[in-house]
Amino acid sequence: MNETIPVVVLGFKTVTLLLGGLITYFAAKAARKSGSDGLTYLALGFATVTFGSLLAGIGDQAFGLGTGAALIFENALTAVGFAVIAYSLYVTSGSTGRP
Amino acid sequence: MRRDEELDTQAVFDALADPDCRAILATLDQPRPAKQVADECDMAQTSTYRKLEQLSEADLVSEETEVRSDGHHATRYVRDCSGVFVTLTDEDRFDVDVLRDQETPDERLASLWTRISEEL
Repeated sequence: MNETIPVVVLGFKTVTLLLGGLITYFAAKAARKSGSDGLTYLALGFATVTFGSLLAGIGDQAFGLGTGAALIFENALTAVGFAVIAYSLYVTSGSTGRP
Repeated sequence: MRRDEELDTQAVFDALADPDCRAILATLDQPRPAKQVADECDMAQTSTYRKLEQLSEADLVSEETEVRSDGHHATRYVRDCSGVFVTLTDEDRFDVDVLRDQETPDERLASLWTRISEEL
């Protein structure tokens, strides 16, 4: 570790990862069951937001990506993830919406 | 797709328009075999089977199979809804939303997301 990360931050990251993972899991399950494209995008979007933060952390801590670059990477993935989630709403509304 | 959905909607309306189907639906608060349903609703067994079939097709009742030790399989029926929402959509179609009794988190997420997307 190149610098110490406050325990509170680690705690919040862990909670984010667990809850994000849970939502991703349910979205993926719903997508598989209903075969709806909208829900597939929803799962993808949540996965991107959730694991983007993890990936950036790993890049920073394990590969010496640098905090600045890691922050950019993390926020870029969050933006992409939310874009995918927003897009999923349009896909859902475009389809009949019922399995 | 649209056609199927209309058929499903029609099936729900047909089932709910039938007083016998409604009586069956009202008694099926827990899994029961068809025979018991016929007794409780005071109906002939043949018509009870027919109505249960109709309710199953409308997805208002679900069937569960109980495997017994003597090798006979008993089918039991249980109510699979707690209410029905009927809405008139912007495209002047009737939309039927069946509220499920035992909704799993992923089903709840799916219906929630659908409802949010309808706000667009």
